[in-house]
Amino acid sequence: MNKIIEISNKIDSLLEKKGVSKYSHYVERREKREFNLEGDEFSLFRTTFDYNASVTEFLDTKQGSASGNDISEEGLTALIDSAYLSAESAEEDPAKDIAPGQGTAEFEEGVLEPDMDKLFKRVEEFRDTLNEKYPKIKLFSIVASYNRADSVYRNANKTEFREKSGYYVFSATFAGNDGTKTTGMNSAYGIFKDLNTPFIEIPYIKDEVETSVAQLSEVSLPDKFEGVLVLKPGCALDFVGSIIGNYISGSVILDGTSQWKDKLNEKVVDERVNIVSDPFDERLVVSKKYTNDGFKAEKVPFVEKGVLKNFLLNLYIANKIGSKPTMCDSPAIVIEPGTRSVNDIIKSVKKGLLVGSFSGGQPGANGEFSGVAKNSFLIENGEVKGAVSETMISGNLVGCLNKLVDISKETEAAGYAVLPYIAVDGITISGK
Amino acid sequence: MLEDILSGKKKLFADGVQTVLRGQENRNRRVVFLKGNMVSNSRSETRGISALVTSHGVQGFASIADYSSNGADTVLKAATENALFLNTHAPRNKGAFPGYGTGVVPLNRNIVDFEQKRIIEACKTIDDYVVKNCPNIVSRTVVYTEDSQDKIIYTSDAFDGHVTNPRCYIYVMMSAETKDGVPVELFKALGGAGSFEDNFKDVSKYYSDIDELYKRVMDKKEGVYADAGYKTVILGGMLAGMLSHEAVGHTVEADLVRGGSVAGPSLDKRVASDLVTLVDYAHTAFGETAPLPIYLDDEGTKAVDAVLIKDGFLRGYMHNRDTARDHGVTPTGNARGWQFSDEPLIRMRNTAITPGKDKLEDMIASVDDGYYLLESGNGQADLTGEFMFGITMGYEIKNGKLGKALLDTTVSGIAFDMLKTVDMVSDKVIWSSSGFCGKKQMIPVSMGGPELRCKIMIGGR
Repeated sequence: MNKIIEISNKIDSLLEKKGVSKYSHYVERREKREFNLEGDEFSLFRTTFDYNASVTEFLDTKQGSASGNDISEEGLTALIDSAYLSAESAEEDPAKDIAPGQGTAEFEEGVLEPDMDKLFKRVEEFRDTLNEKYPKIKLFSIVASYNRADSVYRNANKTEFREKSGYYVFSATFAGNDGTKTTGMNSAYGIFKDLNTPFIEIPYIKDEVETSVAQLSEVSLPDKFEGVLVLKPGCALDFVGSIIGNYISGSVILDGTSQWKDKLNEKVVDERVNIVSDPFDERLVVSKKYTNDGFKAEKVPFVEKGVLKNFLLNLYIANKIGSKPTMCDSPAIVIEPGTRSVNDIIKSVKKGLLVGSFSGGQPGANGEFSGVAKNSFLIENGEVKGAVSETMISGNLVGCLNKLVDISKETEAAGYAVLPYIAVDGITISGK
Repeated sequence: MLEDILSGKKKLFADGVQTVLRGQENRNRRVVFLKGNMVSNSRSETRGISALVTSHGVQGFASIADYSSNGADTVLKAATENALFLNTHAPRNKGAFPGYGTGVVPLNRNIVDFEQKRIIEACKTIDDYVVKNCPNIVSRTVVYTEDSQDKIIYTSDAFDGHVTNPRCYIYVMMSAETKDGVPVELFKALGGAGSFEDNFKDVSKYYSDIDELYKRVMDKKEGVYADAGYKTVILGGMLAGMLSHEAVGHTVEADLVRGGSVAGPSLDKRVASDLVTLVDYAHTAFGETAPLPIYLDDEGTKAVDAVLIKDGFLRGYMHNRDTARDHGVTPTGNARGWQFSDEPLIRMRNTAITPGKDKLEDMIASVDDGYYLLESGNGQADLTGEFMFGITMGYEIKNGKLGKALLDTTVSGIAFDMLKTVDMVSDKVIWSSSGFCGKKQMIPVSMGGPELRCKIMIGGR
C-alpha cells in the first residue's frame, strides 16, 4: 500500500504543477496467481503483476480522463498531459462534477495472504472427485486463481478511499458425456474468501455438476406452449441485470428510453419483489465500497415491495436531469428470499421449465426477450422431468415479474450476488 | 510505437525449454455522445512484458507492467519457475514442440495517434448529421472506440517479429418508438482496421450508411413480431459471419476439440451441404487484405489460413503449437493474447463462409413464407454447436417479396444440422470486424459470409 500512496502523492503534485485544481484519480496495484487445467491436466501456471493509474481532470466545466499502467514519473506526467488534452478538447458542460468531500475511509475485504498450496490441492481434489464420483462428467477446463489488489482513490475535495482486497476465484467448465452422447457445456463459478470447503461440496457447484449428468436424459418438448419458468439463482441474476440495464440505469434515464422513467415511487412489479444493492452484505466477497464520482457506497433499494425506489444515477446524469446521484454505481445485487422451498414451488407448477441459464439476445428497450433455455429441464405436473434441448423461451422482463409465481426461501451466494430461485409465469416456450 | 528493448534478451532464455518473450502495448480511445451529451472522453495505454515458458508439456507464464530490461529479466525468471512448479507437481511428460522454421516477420503497419480533439470533432459531425437528417428518432448515441495492439515477439525456436493490429470505429445508435410507445433500436459500426485518419479523415463518406440505418429504424418501428417456429430464412452476410464464428468456429478451435466439442468425432465427415466452405483467414481473403490481418501469432508461428469446412466436409481445426503437435499437423498461427498479461489462446482471426453463385434477389424470390435476417446484436454457442443469435433487424418474406420489418427476436439451432439445410449461397461476402470474442480474454475478430438460404428455429410470439 505504501507504493500506491507514493504514486498517488506524485499524481497530486504533478496535477498541482500543471495547475489543475479540480480532479480525481485512482491508483491500483493488481496481482494474480492462476492455475489452468486443460481437460483434467494442469497445463499452465500464470502470475501477473499490473498497475492501473487513472486521472480525471476538469478545466472549468470541461472534463477529460486518461488511464495507463506506466507509474514512472515520465509515465504519470504523460498520463496527466493526456487527460488535460482530453479535457481541453471537451465541450463545456456544467453537469460534470465530483462528489463533495467525504473525508477518508479504509476498506479491507477477503483474504490478503494466499495459500497457493491449498488452492492447488483443492483443484486437484475437485478434479479427482469428478473422475471418481462423476464418471459421466467430462471436464473441459478449470481456472483457479488468487487475486490481490491495493488501491487508493483521491479527489480534489480531500476525499481519500484506501482499499485492500484478496479473494480466490474458481471456474470449471464441463459437460455430461456417457460415451455416446455429450450435453451442452455447463460451468460452475464462485468467488471465495477462504478455501475451507472442498469446491465440490459447495452446493451450487455440486448442483451444476449433477445438472450436467441429469442432462444426459432428454425428453421431447411439445411444439409450443405458455408456461412457468423457475429460474435458478445464476439465471435469475441475468434477468435482474437486464431489468437494471433496461429500466433503472442512468443511460436509459438520460436518453429517455426507460419505460420506468416516470414511475419513481410507483408499483412496477409484483409486491413480493425486492431488488437491493447492498455492498456491505456479509455474504459477498467482492463489492464496490465507493463510487467513481467519490461517494461512499450505501445500501440502495431499487425495487421495494414492487415499488420503484431509485434509479442508478451517477453524479453527471443526476445533475443533468436535476436529480440526486445514487450512492452506488456497480450494484451488489441482493434479492430477498421468499417463504416456500424451491421444491414446493416446483410442485405447484403444472407445466414449465427449470432454467439453469439463458442464452439470448439482449432484451430490447421494451423488455421483450427471446433466447435458448440452456441447462434446463421440463417441469410437468409438479415434477422435474428430463432435460430439454433446442428450446426457446420468450416473454417480457417486466411482464413476467408481474406474473410472479413465487420466490424461494433458499438463496445462492457465489461471492458477488445473493439470489433465490425466482418462478415467473406467462412465458412462451417452444421446442423444435 | 513500442521501442524494441527486448532484442538482447534471448541469451537469458533457459536451456531445455521453449520460450516466448513478448512486449506489448494496448491503446484505447473512447468518446461517447449520448443524445448530444458527451458522457465519456478517455484515453488509455497499457504496456508490459510477458514470458511464456514450455517444459515437458506444461507452461509457465508471467507478466509485469514494467516495460524495461529489468521487467524482461523478472518475467523470464518467474515464468521459468512457474513451469518448473507444474513440472514438479503435475508433470505431463510431453515432448518439445516440433520446429517450423525461424526468421523475422517484418512490421506490417504503423500505429498513428491522433488528438482527442479530432476524434471529438468527428463524433460531433456525425451527431449533427443524425440530428439534421433523422427527425423521427427519440434518442441517439455516437461512440468512437479505438483499440490497437503493438507487439514485439522474441522466441527460442520460432519466428520473431514486430506486429500491430490497430482498428477504430464510430458506432451510431438510434432509437425510435412504435405507435404504442415501445422503443426500438438499431446500430451501425462505421470504420475498420487502421488508425483514425485511415477511417475518418472525411466522415461524410458514411452519410449513406447513416441514411440506411435511419430507414431501417423507421421500418422497425412499424415492425411485427416473428412467428416462433422452424422456418426457411435467408441469413444476411453478417449472420453468416456470426454463424461461421460462433456456431462453427468455436467448435473447431483445437483446444475445444480436445475438450470434447462436437467437431472432434466429425473430422472428414459431412457437416454441411456441398455449398458450404468455411475458412479462418490469416491476413488475405479473396485476393484482398483481410479486415483484421494477422501475420504472426504470440507463439512465434507465421499465420496461415485454416480451412475448416471444404465443400460440406469438416477438414481441419485451428491450432496452437501444442494442439498441432498432438494432431500431427502444422500450427496455423491462431495463438493470440489480448493484453500483455494474457497468455496466448487459440483464437479466430477472419472467419468466413466463401461466396456461392446465387443472386440475393433470386434467393428472396424463392421463399414463400419466411424471413430475411440482416443484423445481429449478439451471439453465443456451445461445444455441441447449439447456437443462439439475437436478431435486431430483419424482414418478413411473403410469396417471394420482402414484407414488414421484424421486432427483436432470436434464432437458434445446431450448427452441423442447420448447415446441411443450406441450399442457396449468394455471390457477395459481407464482413463485420468491429467485434470482440470472449474466451477467458477478449480479442478482436472479424467474421463474414454471403447470404445463405437455410432452415432455422426463430423465436417470437
